[in-house]
Amino acid sequence: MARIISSVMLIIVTTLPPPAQANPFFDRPPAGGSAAEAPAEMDHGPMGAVGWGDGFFGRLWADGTRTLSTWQRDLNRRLGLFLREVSQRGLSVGGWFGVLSFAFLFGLLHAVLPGHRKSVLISYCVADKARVVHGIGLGFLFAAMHALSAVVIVFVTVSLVEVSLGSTVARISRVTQIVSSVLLLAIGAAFCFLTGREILSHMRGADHGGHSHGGLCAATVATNHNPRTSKWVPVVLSTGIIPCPITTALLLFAVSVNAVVIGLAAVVALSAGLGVALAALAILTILVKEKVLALVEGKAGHLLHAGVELVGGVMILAVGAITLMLLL
Amino acid sequence: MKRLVMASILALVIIAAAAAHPHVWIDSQFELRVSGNRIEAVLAYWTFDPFFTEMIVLDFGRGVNGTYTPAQVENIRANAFENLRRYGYFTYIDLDGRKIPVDSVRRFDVRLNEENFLEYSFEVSIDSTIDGRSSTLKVSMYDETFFTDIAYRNDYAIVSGADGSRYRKQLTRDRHMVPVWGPMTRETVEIVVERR
Repeated sequence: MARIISSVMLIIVTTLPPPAQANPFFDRPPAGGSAAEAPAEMDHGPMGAVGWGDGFFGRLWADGTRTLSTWQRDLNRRLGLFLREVSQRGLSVGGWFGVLSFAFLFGLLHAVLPGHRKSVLISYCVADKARVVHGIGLGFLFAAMHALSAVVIVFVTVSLVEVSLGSTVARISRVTQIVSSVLLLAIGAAFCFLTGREILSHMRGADHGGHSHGGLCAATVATNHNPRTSKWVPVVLSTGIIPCPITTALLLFAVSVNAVVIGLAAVVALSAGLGVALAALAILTILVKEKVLALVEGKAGHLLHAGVELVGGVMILAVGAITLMLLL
Repeated sequence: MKRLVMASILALVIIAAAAAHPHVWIDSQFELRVSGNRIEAVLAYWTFDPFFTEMIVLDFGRGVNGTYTPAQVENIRANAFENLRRYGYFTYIDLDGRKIPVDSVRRFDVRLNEENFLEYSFEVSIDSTIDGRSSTLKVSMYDETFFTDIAYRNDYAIVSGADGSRYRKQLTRDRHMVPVWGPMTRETVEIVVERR
C-alpha cells in the first residue's frame, strides 16, 4: 500500500503542466478563452467555492500565494523606489549592498512563488538519473539562462526598436515561448523514447535475483553514477530562452531612469536569488524521488523507477504540447 | 510511514511551486457614482508598481509634471490598456445578483501621481435604479491569468453623489477557483445603497 501511495504521489507531482502566461496589457489571452465574462456566481464567504479550493490545501494554496505575492509587491515597490533614488544620487558602498540584497531577496521570493517553468525542472529531475550536485547546477543554469535571455532581448530591442518597447518585448517573449515549447516537445519525445527503450530491454532481459543497492539493480546503479548530463544543455536552453518578465521589467526600468549598470548588477543578484531557489527545488525533487523509490525493491522497483522517469519524459512532452497549443 | 509522510509533504511543496505568478502589481480603488436613486457608474483607479510605470514612461513619456496630453492618453489607452478588453478589464460587477458585463469602458485617463507611479482611471457604466429599499453592488478586480496582482487599497471605495442616501460598505475575501491555475484569494467590495 505504501508503494502504491508513493507511486501515485510521484505521478501527481509530475502532472501539472503550466499554461503559458501572456501579458494581458499587450497579448491576447491564451487559447481556452478570455476572462471577459463575469463569473457565473459571485461567491462570498466560506461556502462559496467548490471542490478542493475550499478544502485545507485549497486555503493553504490561496492564502500562501496571496502572502508571497504581497511580500513581493512590497519588495518590488521598495526596489523600484530605491533604484530611482540611486539613479539620481549615485551609489555608495552601502547603496550597492542595499541594491544587491534587495534584488537577491526579490529573486529568491519570485522563484519561490509559482512559475518560471519549475514544472519542467521538476519533470527533468524525475525523468533523469540526476544527483544532488546536478540539481544545484541545473537550478543555477536555469536562472542564468532565464535572466540572460531577458538581458539580450531588452538591449537588442532598445537598440533597434523605436516604437513601444513594452509591447515589442512582450511579442518577443511570445515568440521565445513558442520556440521553447517546440524544443520541449522534441526533448520530451527523446526522453520518452530512450526511457521506453530501457524499460523494454529490461523487461526482456535482466535477472534481479538476490541483491540490493537501495533497491536498484547494478545496471541502474552504474547509470546513476554516470547520469546523462549531456541532456542538461537542451533542457536548460529550451526553457531558459524565455525571458523572465521581472528581469525585463527591471532592465527597462533601469534604462528608463538611466541606471543601466545598476540595473545589470541587480539582475545578476536577482538571478543568484532565483538560482538558489531553483537549485533547492531541484534538490528537493531528487531527494523525494530517491526516498520514494527506495521504498520499493527488486525488479518491480526498477520498473517503477524507469516508469517514473518515463512519466517525467511524458510531462516534458505535455508541457511543450500544451504550451504550444495555448500560444497558437 | 514517517518517510512516506515526509516524501508526501515534500511532494506537495513541489506541487505548490508549479503554477503561475504575477509580474505587474496594481493597488486599486473605485468610486461609486450615485445620483438620486440611480446608481450611475463605477470609476476605477489603478496605481501601478514602479517597474510597470517606468516601462510605460519609457514608451510614452512622462507628460508634463505627470499630466499627459489627450493625444498621449489616447496613445497609452490604445497600446497599453485596450487589450484588457479581452480580459473584461479585470473588473467583475454584480448588482443585486445580476452580472454587469464589462465589455467596454469610458473616460480612460492616465497620469503620474505624486510618487511618480502610473495611475489609470476608467469608468464602467451601470445606469440602474435602486431596487426596492436598497441595492447591493459587489465589485471585484482580479486577473485570472495571475500575470497581474490587483489588491484593494486601505481606502478601497468611496461613494459620491449619495447626499441624503445611506450606504454601508465592506471588503470581503473568499476563495475563487480559476480553471487550471487553482484557487486564488479574491477581494470583493460590497456596497449597499439605500433608497432615499
